[in-house]
Amino acid sequence: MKRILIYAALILAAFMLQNNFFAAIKWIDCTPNLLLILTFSFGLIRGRLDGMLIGFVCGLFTDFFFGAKLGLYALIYMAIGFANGVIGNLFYVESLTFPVVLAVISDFLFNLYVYFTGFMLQGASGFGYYLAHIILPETVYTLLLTLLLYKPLSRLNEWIVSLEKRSAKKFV
Amino acid sequence: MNKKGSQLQPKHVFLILVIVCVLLLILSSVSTKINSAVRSTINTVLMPMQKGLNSIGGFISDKAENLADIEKLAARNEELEEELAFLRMEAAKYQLQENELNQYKELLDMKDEYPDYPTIGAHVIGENSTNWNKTILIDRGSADGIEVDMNVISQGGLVGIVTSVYTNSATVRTIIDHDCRVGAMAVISQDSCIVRGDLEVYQEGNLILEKMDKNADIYDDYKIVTGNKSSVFLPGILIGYAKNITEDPNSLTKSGLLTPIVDFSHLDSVLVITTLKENGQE
Repeated sequence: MKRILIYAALILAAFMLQNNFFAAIKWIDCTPNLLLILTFSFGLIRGRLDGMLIGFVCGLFTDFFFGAKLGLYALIYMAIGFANGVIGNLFYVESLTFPVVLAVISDFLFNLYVYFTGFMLQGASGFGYYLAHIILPETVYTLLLTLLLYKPLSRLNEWIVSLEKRSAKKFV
Repeated sequence: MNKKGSQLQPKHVFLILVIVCVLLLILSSVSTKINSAVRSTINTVLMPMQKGLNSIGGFISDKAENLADIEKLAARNEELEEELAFLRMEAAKYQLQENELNQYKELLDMKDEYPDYPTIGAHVIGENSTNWNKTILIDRGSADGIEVDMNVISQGGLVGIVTSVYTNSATVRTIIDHDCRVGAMAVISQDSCIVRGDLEVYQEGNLILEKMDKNADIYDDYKIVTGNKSSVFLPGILIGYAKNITEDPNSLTKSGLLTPIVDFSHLDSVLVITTLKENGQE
């Protein structure tokens, strides 16, 4: 229960930071994808189920606010959470390099998905432009924030685990 | 959470959620009512916090920009003061001419051709976070009488159009969004054209101006306003100035660029015109 509450608070915080705080800072003409960082981090740390559920909620939020159609973002965030969960199960993640590489791949795939579902089909101009001006800056921004946020998030998870253990003991 | 996981395989949950997403996609393609009901609820709850964070972000951004720009601004200020002096003179001249014009107009009985539209002021409190779309969130909603398709202006020019309305906020699609098409015309000749947003062209601060007849009386530096034929945009709102007009390869039409009046990177407050096109024409 506590875990769900903390997840909800994290998602809300990330969503509003991303849309209101970072978007308002005008001298960087790009916003980092905090929701993606949250999704893939917990996917990696906690596994498929957590990653996918967080991704689903993050995506739904984005859909409700900005998507033309519901479910479009939910689908991709969820898939990223799930995929990172699978990868997290396969490998033992100790260093920071591995999550950062995954962050870059996730963000890149996410933006490709947005381009192909939303833009290419509407006859937008060349892919090269979008790659250079939207996808790459966002990926770099997300990479930097992953460097900052991954360790704290993983520590937060340890803290939640200890909380859960404590309350489990009380019941016994 | 863990118990659930052991009973239900994550694989299956994943599949179920995928199906939910697809269903939502189909549902929301069919009807837009579902979206707006849910959106409205979420928006009402989050509004105050969003407003606060937005102003903090804006504050930090402003401060940093101020520091970097002080020197530039001083020079610019001087320039502008000179320009202002010049413009004052010009304005006085035009005042005289306008009086004269009004007299003629009264004679011709066409005084109300471009009525002043009633407006509501609103603050910009959020921007689309996905970097792909150029939509903004404003702090007025259905409680203030905002409706879908109302035109939004700022700094004397067209900003965009309201696309969805919640209780206390509304989403505005700006004209630089790549989904946005505005039926427009040149002020003098009233020859029609289309203004289209494009992220790539906007990098240099421009929009695309297209679908003009080859012989249309639209050339560089002509004033472009919203057209009479547009279904949602009120006629006569200034959009910007034409630029780089060239004939298309099909030698039937010509196209070019448009420099908007509005500075979209510094949008803080906007005006929403409360007249809808359909009502306005009654």
